[in-house]
Amino acid sequence: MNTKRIAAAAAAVLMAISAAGCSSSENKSKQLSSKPQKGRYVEEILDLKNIEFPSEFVKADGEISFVNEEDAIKRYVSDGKNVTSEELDLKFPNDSCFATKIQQLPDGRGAVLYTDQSVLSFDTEDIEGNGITQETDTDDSAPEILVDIPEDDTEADPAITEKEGGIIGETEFETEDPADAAEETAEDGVIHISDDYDSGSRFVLIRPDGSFAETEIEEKNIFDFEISEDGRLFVSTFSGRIYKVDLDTGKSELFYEGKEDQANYIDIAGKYIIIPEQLENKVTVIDAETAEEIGNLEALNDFCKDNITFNSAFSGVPCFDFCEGEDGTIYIACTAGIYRYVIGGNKVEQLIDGSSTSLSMTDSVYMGPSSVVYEGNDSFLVECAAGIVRYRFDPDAEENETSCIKIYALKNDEKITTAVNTFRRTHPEIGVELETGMKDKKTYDDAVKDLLSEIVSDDAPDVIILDGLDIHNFIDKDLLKDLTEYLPDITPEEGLIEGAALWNDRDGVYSAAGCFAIPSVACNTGDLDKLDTLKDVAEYSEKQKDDNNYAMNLETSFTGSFIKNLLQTYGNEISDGKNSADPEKIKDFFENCGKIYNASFSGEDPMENEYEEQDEPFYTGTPLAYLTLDNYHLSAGMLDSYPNSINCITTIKDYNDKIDYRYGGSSSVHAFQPIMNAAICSRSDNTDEAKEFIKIMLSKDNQDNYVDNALPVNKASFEYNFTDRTDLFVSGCIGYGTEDESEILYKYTDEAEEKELMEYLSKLDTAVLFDEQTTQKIVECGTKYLNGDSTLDEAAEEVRSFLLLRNKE
Amino acid sequence: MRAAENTAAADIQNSAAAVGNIKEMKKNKKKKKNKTDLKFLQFLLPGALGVAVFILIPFIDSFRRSFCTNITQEFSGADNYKEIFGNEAFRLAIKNTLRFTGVCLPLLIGISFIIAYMLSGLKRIQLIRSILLFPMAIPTATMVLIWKILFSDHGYINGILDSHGADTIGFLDDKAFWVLVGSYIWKNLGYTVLLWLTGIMSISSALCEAAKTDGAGEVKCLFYIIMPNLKPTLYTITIISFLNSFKVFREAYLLAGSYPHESIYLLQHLFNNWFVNMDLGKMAAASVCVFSVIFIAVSLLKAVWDKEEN
Repeated sequence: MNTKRIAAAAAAVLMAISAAGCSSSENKSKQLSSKPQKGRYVEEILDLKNIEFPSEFVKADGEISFVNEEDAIKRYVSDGKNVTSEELDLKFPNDSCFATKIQQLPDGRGAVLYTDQSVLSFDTEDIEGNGITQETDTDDSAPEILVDIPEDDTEADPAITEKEGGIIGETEFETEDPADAAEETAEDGVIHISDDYDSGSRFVLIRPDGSFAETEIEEKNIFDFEISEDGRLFVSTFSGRIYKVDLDTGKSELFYEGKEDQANYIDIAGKYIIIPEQLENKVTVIDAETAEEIGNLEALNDFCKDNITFNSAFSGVPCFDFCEGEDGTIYIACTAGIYRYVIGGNKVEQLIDGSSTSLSMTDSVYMGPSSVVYEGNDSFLVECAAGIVRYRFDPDAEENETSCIKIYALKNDEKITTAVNTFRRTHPEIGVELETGMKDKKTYDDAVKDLLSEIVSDDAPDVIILDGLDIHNFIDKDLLKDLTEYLPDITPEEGLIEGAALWNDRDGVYSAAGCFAIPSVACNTGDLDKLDTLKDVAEYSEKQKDDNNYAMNLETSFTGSFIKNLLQTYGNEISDGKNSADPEKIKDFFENCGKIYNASFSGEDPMENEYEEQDEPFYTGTPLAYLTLDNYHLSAGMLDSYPNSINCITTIKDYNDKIDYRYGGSSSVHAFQPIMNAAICSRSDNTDEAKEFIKIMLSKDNQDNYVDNALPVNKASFEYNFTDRTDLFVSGCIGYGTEDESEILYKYTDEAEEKELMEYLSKLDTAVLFDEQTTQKIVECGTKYLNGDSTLDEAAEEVRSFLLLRNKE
Repeated sequence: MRAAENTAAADIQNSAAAVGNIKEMKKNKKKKKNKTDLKFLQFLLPGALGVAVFILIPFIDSFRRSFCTNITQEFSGADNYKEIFGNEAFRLAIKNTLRFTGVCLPLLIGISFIIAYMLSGLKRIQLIRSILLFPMAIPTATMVLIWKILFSDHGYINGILDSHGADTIGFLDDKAFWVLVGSYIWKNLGYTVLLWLTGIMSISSALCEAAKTDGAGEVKCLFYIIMPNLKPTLYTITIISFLNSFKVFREAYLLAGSYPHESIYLLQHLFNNWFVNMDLGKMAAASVCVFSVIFIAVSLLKAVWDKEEN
């Protein structure tokens, strides 16, 4: 009996707890459900010229502002509709300074964390044996900086005035009358927060009134700082601590102990300080008033584990941002979208799907959104790779749509997102649904099965981006529409580089490529004729290794990327002409890859452990750059953009006549890789809209977006690179010559170089592209072989067996 | 006389009434029987509906699709059937699947019977019964992970061989078939032993004791008393093991992906890859063929069994 009573009591308690839990979660879900049910967020890229690397957004008194370092530092203010700018009379102490971080106080004053390169002096020194050079810091007598603001008798810190006569006084702030200089500084209305990396330690506040103070933070190794809306300055240090700094006195107090020796960026969203932890992909949230850690963040941390990333190439800068919302909510912007969360709640709610917006766009600097602010009235301002973008909720957006097209791509790509955004801008009346097959770690098999299920259940996509898919199979199954009759409509007035754009012409035109890449090879002058095939390259690399120690710099420490790079460059040699490989040619391919790999230098990258295997080869320029810069003798790779690849190799060729290059890996074929191959599904119900999408994708309006990071197929967009572009290469430096250590500056291609390129493009005849399954198998087995995990025979046999079985099917 | 006539008439009336009652009773019984039938159907309906929706109708649709083109669904006659019988991958998959079934079935039945017979003499059989079901409780993914740790090129076994200077063995390449056989037997052994044990325990011990009294030894008891009495169990085990041998795809897929070594390329691999390649017509035709083979095999087994029973 007693047992029964105990059981009943336990059940009652459990029910009560569960009821309480329900009611608490109901409360939270009530807060979360305030989102309007109809309509959707509409994206608008703000037309702000020359905005590069702006500061984080600051919101105060209903006004949102950010500052941007251009030729001068400007402050931009948004009233929710328009953005106006004013120039701040803020100057860095000298030309070698660059902003590490610019932030604003709510009253409009700015705060700048900056680094002065003049204190860092690099020298090069030849490391004996392998022919590489390495930068080492050898200058111990770096000058003191930043403290030469003219003396103010009443407020200046004596410790700082002692350093009068430094660099600043001699350059930017030199005035006849120190008092005038102080006044001038005060008019700036800017607080400088300087961090001198070299001496490693000083953190100096320069106030609007011209006075300044060195803060009293113990370790003084500043990692990041953030200013709250009420004007409090929080500083995080390399030791993981957070200090609160009094802006008037410069005095600091330890605010949060943090984790030992774990430097983290910090973010402030309303009354919370959010500390993203890169090592564990999670966040710690502390109360900005009491410094108490907030508990019950499982939902937020589960979300973070899957969605937040850090840019390891830029000392782990977060590729996401938090901001304060209404009613205690916070918003999170990342590549996956914009999300809403109530601190302590059990659900992170997606408001905007990033995959079909500019949020998912990335470039070498922005690996995700860097700043977000909630403007009110369901409107967000986001800083991301596309620029400053506004997302505004439009309740009538869906009602105003006359139709909706579905676009399918195996993998999301910013070029696709760009085309979708251009289409949306041009046709706001047509809804767009962008579906990514291999998202959420889905395998190729699962993604294609899902696509097939959609097709057979009459929910077929209207446009299919064929990259990575088995294109020939799609054509054989009558899944693609022949575009021949649409060509007059979709071809832009400016014309196309037809060989690249309309390559898929098997008994009709089945797709149109948005951009393309071309292979190239470079070597010592006079030897180019010897390099006709991959086998020649392999033998040449072995010879160079014998003669010169190393033949080639792999430019990447990832074996998989190395294989993928050669697969793209010399893919025409093993292609079976149907997006797949010839089983009998795999062994030779691996053997040659192995020879080149073993003859190459794959230097140990100290950051190696921080990188994840990337989908694309990790280019830091073009492989040809290594020929000149590091005394290598062979280079092969894909040229996938004009400024970073083609301009680079022509510049280097011009600089060093001992090297020569050729477009095309093999001289006998004119190979290329078509990218973003858009096709119309034969089961599409919106053929006209799909056709319009391809037309806009090929239009100059859209193709101009690819000018800097791809080779566009639109002739006018492509040839825009032939003009003397004022927006590029202002002081671009590829690197330093090894002989005289002089700077190698970018140069524009000349007419002869342009003619040579256009001649190659006019003869394009071999499209090299493999389906995702084949690529994965070749890269996987090739990596095993090059890493010594399997023999050449085993690796080749595994791929051969896979290809044979697939052919049999 | 009149009394007699009245009595007779009453008798006749009674008889008529009796006949009427009987008729009415029969009618009522019939009605009741009808009602019982309907009730029976009510119980059957949810299950039958499930089978119809999830098995029967999809199968009929597959049958229809086997005569149509892949995506456009136009009638294509027996093209898909011609294509699959001329398809090398299909023939390879059929060959491997039959080989797998042909090797696994006798091995599993034989080994499990020997173990069950040996265990049947033990007293603490209840505890052993629970242990026997453990392999079925282990998730396939976990099991495959263990197999990989043991048998991969850099796994434990090859590590030991390597450390002793012996050549390593490609367990997941040319020996993959036997790894898969081992995996199948390991997973199904306990369950099959349990079925045998249940069969053996249901044989009256008096039969064996009587035989032993008449001078029969253990072997004669086994061959003349136990084994003949286990025919119903054998039938059940054969059918279950036969069907299970077609379900080994999960292990093979997790072990070596959608394109494994040729020796373990099974029908389900082919179906999976055809699905990915959008060859719906071929897939439908192949599934109709496979169903027919299984159906015929099971029907034959049943016919043989029924014949022996009669």
